[in-house]
Amino acid sequence: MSGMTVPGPLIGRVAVVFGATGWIGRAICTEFVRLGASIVMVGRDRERLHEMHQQLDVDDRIMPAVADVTSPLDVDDARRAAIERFGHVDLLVVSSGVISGSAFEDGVPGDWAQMIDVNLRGLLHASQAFAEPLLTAADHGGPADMVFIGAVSTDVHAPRFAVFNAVSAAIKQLARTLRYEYGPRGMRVHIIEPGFGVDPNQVSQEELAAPSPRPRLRESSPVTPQTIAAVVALAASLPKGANLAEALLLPTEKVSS
Amino acid sequence: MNAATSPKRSARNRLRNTPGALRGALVLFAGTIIALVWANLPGSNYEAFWHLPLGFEIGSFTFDLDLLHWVNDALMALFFAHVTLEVRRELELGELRDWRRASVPLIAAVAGLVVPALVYVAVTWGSGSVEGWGVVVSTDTAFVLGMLALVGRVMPPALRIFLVTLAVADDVGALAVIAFAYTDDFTPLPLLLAAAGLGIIALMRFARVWRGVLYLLPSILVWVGFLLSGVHATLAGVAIALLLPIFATRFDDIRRAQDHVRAFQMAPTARYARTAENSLARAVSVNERAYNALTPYVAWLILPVFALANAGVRITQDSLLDAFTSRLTWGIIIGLVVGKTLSITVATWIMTRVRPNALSPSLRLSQIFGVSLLSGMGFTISLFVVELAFDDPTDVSRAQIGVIAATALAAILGAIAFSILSGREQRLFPNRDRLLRPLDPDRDPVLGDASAAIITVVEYGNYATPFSPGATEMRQEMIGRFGSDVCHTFRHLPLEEPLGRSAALANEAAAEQGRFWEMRDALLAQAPIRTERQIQRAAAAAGLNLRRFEHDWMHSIGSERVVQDVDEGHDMHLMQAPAFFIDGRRYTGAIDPDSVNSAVAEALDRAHARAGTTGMGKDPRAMSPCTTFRNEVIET
Repeated sequence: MSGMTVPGPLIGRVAVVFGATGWIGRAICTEFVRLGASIVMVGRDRERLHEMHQQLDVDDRIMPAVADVTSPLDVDDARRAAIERFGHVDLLVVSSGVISGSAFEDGVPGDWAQMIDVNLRGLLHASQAFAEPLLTAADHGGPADMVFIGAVSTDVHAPRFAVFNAVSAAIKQLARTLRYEYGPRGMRVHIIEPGFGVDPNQVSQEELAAPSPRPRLRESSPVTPQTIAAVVALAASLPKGANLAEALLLPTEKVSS
Repeated sequence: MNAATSPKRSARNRLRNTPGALRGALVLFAGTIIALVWANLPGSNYEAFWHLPLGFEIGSFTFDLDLLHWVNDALMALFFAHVTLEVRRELELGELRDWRRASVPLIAAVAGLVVPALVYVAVTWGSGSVEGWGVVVSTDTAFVLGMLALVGRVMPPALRIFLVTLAVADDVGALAVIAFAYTDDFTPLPLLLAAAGLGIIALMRFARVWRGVLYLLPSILVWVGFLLSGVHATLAGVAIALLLPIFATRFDDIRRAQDHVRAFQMAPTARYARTAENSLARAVSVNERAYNALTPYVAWLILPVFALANAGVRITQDSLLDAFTSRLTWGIIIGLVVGKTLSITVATWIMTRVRPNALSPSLRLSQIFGVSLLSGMGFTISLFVVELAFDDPTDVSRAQIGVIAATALAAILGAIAFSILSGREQRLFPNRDRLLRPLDPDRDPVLGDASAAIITVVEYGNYATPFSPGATEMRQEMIGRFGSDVCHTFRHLPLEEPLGRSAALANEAAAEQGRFWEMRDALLAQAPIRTERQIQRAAAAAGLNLRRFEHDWMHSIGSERVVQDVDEGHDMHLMQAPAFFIDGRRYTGAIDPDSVNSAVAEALDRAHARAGTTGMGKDPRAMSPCTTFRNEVIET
């Protein structure tokens, strides 16, 4: 917390982070707080939210909100709570997601449903619920950002993750379309796609949202949550006329997925 | 167009659709007449018969009562339990949930105990028969409810609830009077036994025991305790019924029961049959199960036997002449007829002055006056007190004739009052039996194809009343059974429940997003609606855009339809939800899927017959779409 007194580029911003207790979400929250933003950390696990809240150690700019992204009512409650606490919201990050993979013919339909529910439907709920406050922020002349954390594998067609890739492609398509819808109204829509340089064939099942047990391979990747958070923060802090619309973040040495 | 067939059919239907209470009343009066004839036959064995002892003997322990006491102390305990269960349910979930509202009949009952006694004392002062004041304190619950069913058919249901509460409170007071003023052999010790029994019931209730049978054992203990103490044993029925668990049916329980029944379907074993039965029973409170179990016995056995055993008063010409010249007889008549009427009406009037909302809005003071006239029907308890209060056979005869005369007079005056009131009611609400606004696909959300359907079903309902969890199933069954022959709509009838209107507006707000029926199902799944949160949850479950929903809901977007529905519901005098209109006619039978759907089937048959007689072809669908229904003559 060394930069706490340094005025950061996100001072005055109010960010809502879905999947705040996840591997990537946690880093984004930390980075936002460091750069001066107020944050609403949305996650399912009350205890982990509490624990993070204590670690971040700045009471007045942090609000934890327990919500399941698959429940529209929960998401709506989070929106209400955020507005009530901070007055407005001008930055939304959706980093909640699950991933499961296997050979397609061995895939478990329940796992697919879960990915569609959390990664796609949840993201739809979150982005719809916060579209209005973000547009209001844009109307007031300030920056307004909607950030989706995607997956690079959409382009690479990683085998064994067919369904995850299909869902991620849908998210990417949504980001691109929303950009056309909301760009003219002053809201930036970003999609940040990290690739970890991990051979997906070695990863049978992992949860992006879960901090542990985390696949060691991804942890050893040079693309860390911190680097992802830095890109997100950069996207949010550019002058509002410029949109870092799509970003691919890859390990320098190992560029395939 | 079907003038030839309609009278016969409607007569048969009328009999079938006669409310149970009315049929019960007819049986009760039949019992009364038979008893009077029997008792006055020359050489009658009426008295002797009812004093035959009946009991059992185990070793050296014997227990016997004569037949009359078996009827009055045992059977009537069941009757009082039955009516008290109803009062209790109304107190917990219904009309009397609000204490302010429940207090009116209670206070009226107290006034109806005290004032008639004072009137009697005033009339008989100095005549030596003053001690008979207890004769005029009580209303005969069974007779008065039967009478109301007979003469007050078009009255709002709230009136019956008012009367039931009044009568039960009155009986408790009267039985207490008997216990403390007229019982010589009052021994308080066995009351401890009764208290213990009641304590066990309270404990069982606390422990959420749901098996009705288990409550039977302590109930018998309570009854024996009351009986041995000399306090009238029917009070046991009242005390037990007040304590039995009561709750609104919960959707979760219904779903659990459904799961168990499904499990039984898949594996019809004895074990699954048992779990299914249990979970079904568990979904309904002991109160309601006991009420339903008792209902046929009360109507068809207990009440007629009770009338048969008690109404047989011997009347001769001489005794009549003597009675109508005695102050005792007139004291009873004036006490019951004038005293009861004045005290109950005036007490209620004062209550409504003090607390403007104390009476259900569907009730008027004139109706209370009619009920108070009826409550002059003293009968059983009065006759019972006669035996206790007087020793001299002449006095007994005078008093008995007074009671019978007062009861008959009260019944006649009450009947006259209600025939006037009913006429007024029908003038005030001429449209009570038919649907004011036909189903209109441009205005009403329609399930089914309005242009293809032969008949319409219009439901007026709300989401805040406790008894609506079955509505979804009812509708599904309707659709499954009648397919495109029937189209269905739902209109709003938010009564006084605080969130009824809000839920109706939420339903309309969902219609803005094309999800009226989805929202209806979601609201029903949450019913009864008691908090705004339930409505929000329903909106999410119905898959609505919550932001738009919230906006539309808060801005009462659908209020036009809701207000119209409410106004028309008022014009049609709809006082209870749900109310159904089948083929444009008010449906008055029981609200359960079977009854409603068989009424729909009948209406469909009628519609087919109608189409057949008009000779416009074989396929009735082609000629009688429900949108043109408004042009048809509705027979009333």
